[in-house]
Amino acid sequence: MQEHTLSVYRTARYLTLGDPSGPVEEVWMACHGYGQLAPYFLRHFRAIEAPHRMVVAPEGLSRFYLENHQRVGASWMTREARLDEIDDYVRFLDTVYTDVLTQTRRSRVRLIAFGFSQGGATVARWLARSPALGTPPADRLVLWGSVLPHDLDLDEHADWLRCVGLTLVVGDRDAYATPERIAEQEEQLREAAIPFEVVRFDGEHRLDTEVLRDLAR
Amino acid sequence: MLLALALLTAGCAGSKLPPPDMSAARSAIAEADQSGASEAAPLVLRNARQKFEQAERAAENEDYEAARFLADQAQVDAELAEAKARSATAMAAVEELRESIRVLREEINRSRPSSGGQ
Repeated sequence: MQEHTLSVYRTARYLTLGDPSGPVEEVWMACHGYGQLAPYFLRHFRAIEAPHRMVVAPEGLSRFYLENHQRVGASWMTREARLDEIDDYVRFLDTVYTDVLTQTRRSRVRLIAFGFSQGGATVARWLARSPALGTPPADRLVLWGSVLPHDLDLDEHADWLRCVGLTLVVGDRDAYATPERIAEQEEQLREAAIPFEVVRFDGEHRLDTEVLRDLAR
Repeated sequence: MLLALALLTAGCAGSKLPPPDMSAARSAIAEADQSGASEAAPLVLRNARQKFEQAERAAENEDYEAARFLADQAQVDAELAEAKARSATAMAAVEELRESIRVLREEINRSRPSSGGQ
């Protein structure tokens, strides 16, 4: 058996809140978690709609059925052919971001890279690998119910991580971003001298409207 | 005094969620329908209607948490259907414009005098 790979043209989608023809100064690239779909994920961000802000929710390139075919969800990657999947979604996010900038007719906006759960690792890798973003690649990185991916060498990427404004948001009953995982991440960040803040809220592995509003202020 | 306090707090024991406001979902479905979503995005609009009906049934059964969740989902589906319909309308307008330009070009080419050799 031989394995072959090739690049194919496919249709992907992203959804947005906000008017690209308006006075857009800030763009949130918000990546959903495993098993979610962009339209339902984006609805949480209605709470932070504002004339100067666009929220962009790309959808993971791999969709699949959940709950005995009752629901559809999307994923950014699995461990199968993971490097190719990472390359694919980095290219996808670059294309989305460029498309959005084109619509807003701006060459520069304040970029907030936001990732929930699996989406957190996704946006972090995008910032680390994208050839399209500047230095630093974003103005802020928000990891909600998530930590930096294990394959992101903090020392190698310390320069931009120190400039990007890193925020970890976690519910105190988050079953994935557990207190132990967050504590481990905090220690790693301190050792690498990467400034960060941790925002905790009373809740599980989910978004919280009030916390989201506070982040957006 | 104790009786008054008991009466005041009696309503607090096992307080239930209020019935959800379904009007936003209902409006979103109506707007999607009016925007042509039944042709441009029939499946998405159907999902919205089905979830709304499920939300209404859940509300009738006083399962207000489920009703709120389903109404929320129905609203998102309806908004997505409307967005697809608007996109389809815009694409149709672009195609129409392209066709008009093509016809105009043909007309211009036909009306140009042919340059015969001398």
